[in-house]
Amino acid sequence: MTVIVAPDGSNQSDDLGQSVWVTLRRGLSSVPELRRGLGFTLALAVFSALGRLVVPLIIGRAIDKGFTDGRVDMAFITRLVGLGLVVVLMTTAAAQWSHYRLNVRAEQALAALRRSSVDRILRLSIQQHGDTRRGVLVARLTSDVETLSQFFSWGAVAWILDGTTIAVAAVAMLVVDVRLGLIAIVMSLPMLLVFRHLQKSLVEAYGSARLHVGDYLGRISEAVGASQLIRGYGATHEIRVSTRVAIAGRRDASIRAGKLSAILGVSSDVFGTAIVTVCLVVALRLGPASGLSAGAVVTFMLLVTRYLEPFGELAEVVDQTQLASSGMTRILDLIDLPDDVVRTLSPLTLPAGGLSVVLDEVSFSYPSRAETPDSFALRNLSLRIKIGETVAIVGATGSGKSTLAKLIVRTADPTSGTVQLGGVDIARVDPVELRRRVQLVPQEPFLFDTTIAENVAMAAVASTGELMSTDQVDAVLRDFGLGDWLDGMREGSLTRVGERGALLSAGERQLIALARSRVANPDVIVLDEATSSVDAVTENRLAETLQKLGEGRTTIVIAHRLTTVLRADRVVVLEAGRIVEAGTPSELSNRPDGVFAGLLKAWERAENSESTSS
Amino acid sequence: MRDAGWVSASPSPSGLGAGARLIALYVRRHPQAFALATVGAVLFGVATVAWSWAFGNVVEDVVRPFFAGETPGWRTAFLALIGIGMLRSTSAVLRRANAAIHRQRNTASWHEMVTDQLLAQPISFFRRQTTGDLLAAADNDADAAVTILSPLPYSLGVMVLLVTSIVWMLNVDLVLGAIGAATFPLLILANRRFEDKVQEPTERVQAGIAVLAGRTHEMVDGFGAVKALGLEGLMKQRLDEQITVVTTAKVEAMRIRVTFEAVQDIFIPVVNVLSILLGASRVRSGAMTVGELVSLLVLVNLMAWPLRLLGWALTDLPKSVAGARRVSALLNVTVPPLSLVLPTVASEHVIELRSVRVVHDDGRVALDGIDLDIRRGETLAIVGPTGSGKSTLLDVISGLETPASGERRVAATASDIVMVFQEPVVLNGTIASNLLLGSAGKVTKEHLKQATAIAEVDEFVAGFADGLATRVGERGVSLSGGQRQRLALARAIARRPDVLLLDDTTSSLDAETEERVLGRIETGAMAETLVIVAARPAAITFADRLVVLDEGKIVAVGTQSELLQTSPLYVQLVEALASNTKAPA
Repeated sequence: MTVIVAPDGSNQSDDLGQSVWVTLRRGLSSVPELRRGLGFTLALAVFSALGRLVVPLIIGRAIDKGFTDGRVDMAFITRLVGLGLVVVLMTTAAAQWSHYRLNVRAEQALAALRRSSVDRILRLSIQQHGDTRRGVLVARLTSDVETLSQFFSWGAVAWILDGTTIAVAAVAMLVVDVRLGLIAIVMSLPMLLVFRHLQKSLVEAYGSARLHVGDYLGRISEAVGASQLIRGYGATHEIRVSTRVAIAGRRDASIRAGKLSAILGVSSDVFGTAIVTVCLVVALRLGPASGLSAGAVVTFMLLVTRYLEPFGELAEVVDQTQLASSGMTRILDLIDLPDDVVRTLSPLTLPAGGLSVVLDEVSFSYPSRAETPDSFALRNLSLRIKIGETVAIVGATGSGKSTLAKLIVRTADPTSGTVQLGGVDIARVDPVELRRRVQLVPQEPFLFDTTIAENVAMAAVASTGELMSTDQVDAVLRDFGLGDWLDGMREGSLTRVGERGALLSAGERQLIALARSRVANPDVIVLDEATSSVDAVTENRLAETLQKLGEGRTTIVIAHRLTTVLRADRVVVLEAGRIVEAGTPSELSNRPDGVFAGLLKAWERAENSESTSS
Repeated sequence: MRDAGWVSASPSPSGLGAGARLIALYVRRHPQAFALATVGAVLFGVATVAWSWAFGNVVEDVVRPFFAGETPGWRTAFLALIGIGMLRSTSAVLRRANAAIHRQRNTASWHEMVTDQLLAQPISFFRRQTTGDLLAAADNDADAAVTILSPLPYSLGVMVLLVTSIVWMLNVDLVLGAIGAATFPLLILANRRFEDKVQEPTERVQAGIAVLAGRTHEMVDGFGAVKALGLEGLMKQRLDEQITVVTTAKVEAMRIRVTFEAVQDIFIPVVNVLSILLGASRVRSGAMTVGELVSLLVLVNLMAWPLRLLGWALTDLPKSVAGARRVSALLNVTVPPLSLVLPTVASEHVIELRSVRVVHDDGRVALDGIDLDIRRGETLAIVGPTGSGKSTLLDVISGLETPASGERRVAATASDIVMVFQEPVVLNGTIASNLLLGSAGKVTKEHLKQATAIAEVDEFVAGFADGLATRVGERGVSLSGGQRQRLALARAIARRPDVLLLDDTTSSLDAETEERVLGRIETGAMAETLVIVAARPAAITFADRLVVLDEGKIVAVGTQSELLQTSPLYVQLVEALASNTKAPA
């Protein structure tokens, strides 16, 4: 997991060339869309680079053969120009064709990368997902892919077309005159050193700017998301100051990058002037006796500009290349994550009908807190729940109730011991079957940004493979005694719930989660404080429905209300990850010095103090 | 924000007028960098023309005579070539560096204005806006709004270059010059046509990407639900569909772009090659020299890149206008004025509410006809069924919510009114910076120590190697819900506020912890006056007085014994609580 949790940009290697090369090879081998037809595209690019040489060559030939001794050979020039025209048309067409092929392939490759990432994210186990920051996963599919997309439509094209132009122009210079060609190429080498040096500082400056952008955006999302807190605590000034620091940091780093890139972009121009001048001087020294002609010299000088121009253009895409390379690495790291072990074993199936729940010597510790010795959320806990039984789990905050629920629905695996459903170790059950048979109704359910009906209907997908119809959903909700509530909604069950259900209250979101569990029709149902936000009056009304929901199903209730606990077949009291008491409610409440009895008494006292004051 | 109003004054929403006004705004904000960049660009334009002239001179006056056997003087021509070349490079650096400075300073200006605006708005503003839109304005829209600034000085330079070179070419040769002169407007025209055509698919790409990002967020945020409900197939299908939409639109936009660029790319070399033919005949008739012909060709070649850039600038302009418009729409939301008059309050009261009415944006009346006096030193509990307006009432008391009508009066002595929210928020930073949020330098060490002890923050902080200096949030450890809640409580009581408001704050703690913590807040006198939204008995038992809310109205106020006799709703609530809420969990 460490790979995808790595903060963005941290895997920038000093050696740009090498890291890019490694990524390129990896990308080519894992994304077949990139490979397809690449050879032909490159051939087109080389051919198109020849087009950039046409004008210098024609001018040179025209000067030497067309304008001799004050005469102008129009027939020759016409032939020359005609030929040039044909070549230019063909090479330009080739350039655009290769450009187009490259981009279409790139878009197909990006679509494939996006699909693979979506697929991989959806196949992450809950544990893997929990270990990864959400923003990181979203960034893979959005900003990283967009960076790549920009790179392909601009940077990658520049590398291919400019790279071939440099090579072809260099060869052409050598062909025109080996001595001058060598001088020009040798003189351009120091430029590469300058580039390398500037490029490093440039990448650093961009990196620093990105960090500041991160800080700025972090502060802005706090200004939005924590607006109440910031205002209520008079922290506006404090937040403004720290945001300003990030803004100024971003601005200064970006300006530094801008200055560096200005120098970088112009350095090929400076070298161009120097090389042209030196070559001219050398050409004049060598003189006509060396086999040079006026036309050849002019051609050569124009070729020097053709040879150097692309360097400036490449300098512009260095940062983009770096970004694209690390983006690509991160996406490939995500896609290449190994699957959870269970998928590779042959999965076992659960017995049909009701399911018993057995926890056998189960311990659990949260990995992030493993360094402290006293970190076990559950220790050697054993518990047997019969088919159709309703068990209430009771205990203080941090006693391990929610961890227990997580283990039963397998959103976490025990550190040691096993959890069995119907006698089968759930670690060996196919996750798809498992979640069809076992449902958790969480305290804070997630709602999708669609209608109430669709949010409920989704729960049918796991068992039937399709959404439930709106009419059926309405029937379920009314059967739940939620008819009044539904009628109060502006568009009934077609009312939209907003982002994460923000348009509904916390209690209403819980009602939808309860309806979902009814639609999903599992054999084991785990209610984790599932009605904590529903007000007491409504919950009283729900009591009967909840009972109906539990009928014939094995039910585990993490309870926070006395009625629920007293209605259970059995109560299990947890303390510091161990079961300290278990039994029927009446058994436990009558046990002298029992924990549960003590808790009950404490509550009765609270009730008494309330009635004495009345 | 003073000059953000340029958009509202714009008569044609996407015309060049709005673009010109936007550019003028940027120039006004940071004139120096813009001036330097423009000077650089103009110098660059002139130097570019001059360079082709110098190059032609070298060919005509040095190279050709030399190879024809003469011994021409070469110094002047060479020095001109080098000198002009260096001028060209220097002016390019001047232009590019200052263009970057101008753009970055303007970006920072937008960022600062957005920050100020977001921090100035009341919380009701955030209910009307989606987080995505606000973040987009702060990030992408602000970026888009300044994209025009990168090619802008260059484009101005190109304009100068165009005029200079057309004059020069006409001077060299009327016919050839006219061909050259006609070339450039034609290219720009072709560019405009292309932009019109490519706009639709480009917009489709942008919209598609936005939807894709939204769906991706939902998939990742709701991952637990996706897994629990077996929605992988549904999610994959929804995302795949959107990926196809984006890819199709992108390929279409690309096809149009490539076709246009092919036309553009072919144009210059064709003009070039044909100029050689025409030029040759002019040379034959003695109308021009070979050197002049070469200069002309070099110049036409040099123009290829600037022209493409000019095209991009024209493309960027509408995008920038659209971006600036979206940012400005956010900046133009006026901040409701704060009343600075401190009304008098009866001496035994800290806060008085008179006929307060709060209406939500969807028209629902959240509170109506609220009259309430909060007495100095009392513990007041607010009870009522879900949706009766308890949290809204607390927001009004705290001053976070401004009533649509009615009055909220605060005693001058109650300067620090602090609320602990239902959902605890921890900001990126250290635990200490969170505890001292908005009160750094005002909280004594002793008070901080007491607060962390009372709210039981010490218990979990002891497990961190860095103690209170431990980083939390994005780049630090993530705290559990209970830990966040305790941190939020400690943050509030460390300040020793005059009025402490607890919005069902302790619900994520178990009943015992809740009772313990509330008891310590009460007995330790962590706040003079305490207002609690109560959902469980513990909070009620501590209250001196209770307010019963129903459907946005106060239906009863009194002590518990009074209410048990006078308020049927209170009796009903207490009964529900008694039968329901007393599980020891």
